[in-house]
Amino acid sequence: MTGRVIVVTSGKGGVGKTTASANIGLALAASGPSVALVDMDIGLRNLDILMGLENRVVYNLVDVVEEKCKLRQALVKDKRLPNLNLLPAAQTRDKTAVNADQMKKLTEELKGMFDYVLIDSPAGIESGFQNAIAGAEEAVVICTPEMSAVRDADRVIGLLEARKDEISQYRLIINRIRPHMVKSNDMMSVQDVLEILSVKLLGVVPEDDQVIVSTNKGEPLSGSSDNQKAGQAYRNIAKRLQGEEVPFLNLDAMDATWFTKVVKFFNPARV
Amino acid sequence: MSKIAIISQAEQGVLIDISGCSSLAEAKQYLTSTLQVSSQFWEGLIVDLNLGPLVLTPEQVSDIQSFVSELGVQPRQIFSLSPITRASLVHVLKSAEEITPAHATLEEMVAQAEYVQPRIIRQSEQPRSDVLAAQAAVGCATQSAVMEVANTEPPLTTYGGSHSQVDIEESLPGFTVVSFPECKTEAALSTPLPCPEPVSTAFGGGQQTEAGFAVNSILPASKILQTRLIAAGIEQPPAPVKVAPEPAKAKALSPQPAASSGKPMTPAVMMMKQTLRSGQHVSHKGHLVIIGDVNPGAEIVADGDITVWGALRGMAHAGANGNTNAEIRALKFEPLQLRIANAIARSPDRSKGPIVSSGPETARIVEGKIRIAASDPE
Amino acid sequence: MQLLDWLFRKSSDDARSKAKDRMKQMLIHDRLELPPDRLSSLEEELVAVVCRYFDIDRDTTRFDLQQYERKASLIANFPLVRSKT
Repeated sequence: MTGRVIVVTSGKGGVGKTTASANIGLALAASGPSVALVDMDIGLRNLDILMGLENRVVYNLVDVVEEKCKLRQALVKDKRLPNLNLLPAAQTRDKTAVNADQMKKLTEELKGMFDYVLIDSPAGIESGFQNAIAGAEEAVVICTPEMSAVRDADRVIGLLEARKDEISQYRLIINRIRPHMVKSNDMMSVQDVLEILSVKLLGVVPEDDQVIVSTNKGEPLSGSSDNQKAGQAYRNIAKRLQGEEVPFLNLDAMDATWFTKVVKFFNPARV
Repeated sequence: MSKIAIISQAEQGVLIDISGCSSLAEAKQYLTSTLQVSSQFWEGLIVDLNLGPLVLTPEQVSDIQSFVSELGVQPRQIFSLSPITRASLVHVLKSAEEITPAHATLEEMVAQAEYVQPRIIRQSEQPRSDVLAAQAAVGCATQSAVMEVANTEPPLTTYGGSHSQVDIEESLPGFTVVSFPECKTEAALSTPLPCPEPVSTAFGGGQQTEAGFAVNSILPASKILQTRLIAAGIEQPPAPVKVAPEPAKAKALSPQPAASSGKPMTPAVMMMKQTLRSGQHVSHKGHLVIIGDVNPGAEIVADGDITVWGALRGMAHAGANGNTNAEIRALKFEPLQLRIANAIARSPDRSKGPIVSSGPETARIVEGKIRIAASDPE
Repeated sequence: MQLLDWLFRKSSDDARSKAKDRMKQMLIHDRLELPPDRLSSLEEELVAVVCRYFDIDRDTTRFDLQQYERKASLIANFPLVRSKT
């Protein structure tokens, strides 16, 4: 088996990397393939909490790298899907506990065991990030439509481009879009961000209060079949990663009224 | 093998042992994460550094010297197993002499040319009552705990030069390996405590136990990363101690019978008075007593029992050396995960509702599984 | 009247367009690692050279950086009035 190694990264912190990793991982696994989620945020581990698996963590990534345990022992099986596995980060160590070569070796091993290896990168562009992308073949860049997040995403994309030989493609997820703010021209739109970053779009995730609820419950949104906005968006992203053509969520349609349509008629540039 | 060990003795000072590190970079990394307490912390402390088998060039030797001095540590002696490193040390010393001749301490070391064995001598011997009181003070002192404490280890004096870190740990069960990135200095703990005199300030409130012992479980004088070790020895068996009816338990903790050693000693208790936060890790070769909370993400590991005078919300591993009779006690039991010897218990999943703690509880292994029950002081 | 203003308001005043324009300029500078004063000194030098050959209309001179895909290009527009003799 040769799986795909995909790193989820952003540059800026707090834009939803870990939430995206958990949701994409769960949605991918729900559609069949085997998935390993790797938490590379050593010292600040959180992916286990989002997955609701924090009480099952026995060994961690650093233990595997230091050969204190076998890789199989450190993988935490998801309580919902048996084909979804989490490799947790160490909480009591720091980013220097692993290096890029060790990560390459680890991802090679994981590639042989799973169809998808999703690596949740830490924020920043220092050693933790470098380690996270070391073994990756594809990248998913997350950003929100804010200037600081877009600027950091651009920096990360620049760094990913510099590794063209290893990382064959990178795509963007725009998270926390608020359609009403875009409409009132108070926030950059998906098109604006794409124009600035000139990068391929993988998905658009609207702001959704349910994300916080799901974190508290330890159940990623994409796992439930309700038609929640963010959950649906992540399921679509998983499909696109698998090569399916799925139209992007029509965020305009979400709260479009006859009035905005009239505005559009008068002044197409505005909407 | 530990990458770094901080081994302390009240009179001997502190030996920083990085012989487990395989490269200079690794050694520096562990030194940073462990020594960075505060530069004042190390002031006036006698510190020796054991480089173990690390092979270093003169440049690297001066590099590591300036590195540790930046962290506020001035090693009195540096030990090395590698002839190359020793030659480098001599070289560095000579070139340093040209600039400043006042390098007597390092000179002493080099003058001995051969590898000098770092000596650790256990010498702080406190009445057992202190240890018992420490246990009693947290409200959970059971007879078995008394029994465990009352049991003995062979006297420990030195470890040889060719020994590795593992030997140190094995031969010195009373000493601890501390590795947590940040810790604040605890005023109450850094107060020098006169040895036999009952000192109540250690707990900040002068808690007296039923037996009338005041708590004096803290090693005097030497400041050690604000976690204290007790190397409590028993000169005379105190009368009020009852012997527990479970000899197997006592055996498990200290396999050597008391009679085999001329001078009986107890396993150590380490007491820390602070809240342990996410990312902090404390491990200890004896019993561990935490006066404070253990937050989610923190890890505490002990070969003996673990007692938390506060809420236990992180991961606790008692009997880490395989002692299935070890116990974990806490005032508020909300752990993410419990481990005793090789058994693991995890908290129920969040979907089944929050964990509600109902007062002090004790976890122990019953029929191969970890069971938690309300603490019964008997 | 306000409604009409809102309907036909020029789109360059709002937060969204401001952000977009600022973003574009910022990223061009970031990507080229361009010091802030570099562009204006280049403009001065270029204008000086062109002025040796032509009279130019300084009011309608355009000189800025634009991005296409992830590449930046320099757009200079010096409307010429007459050639110098």
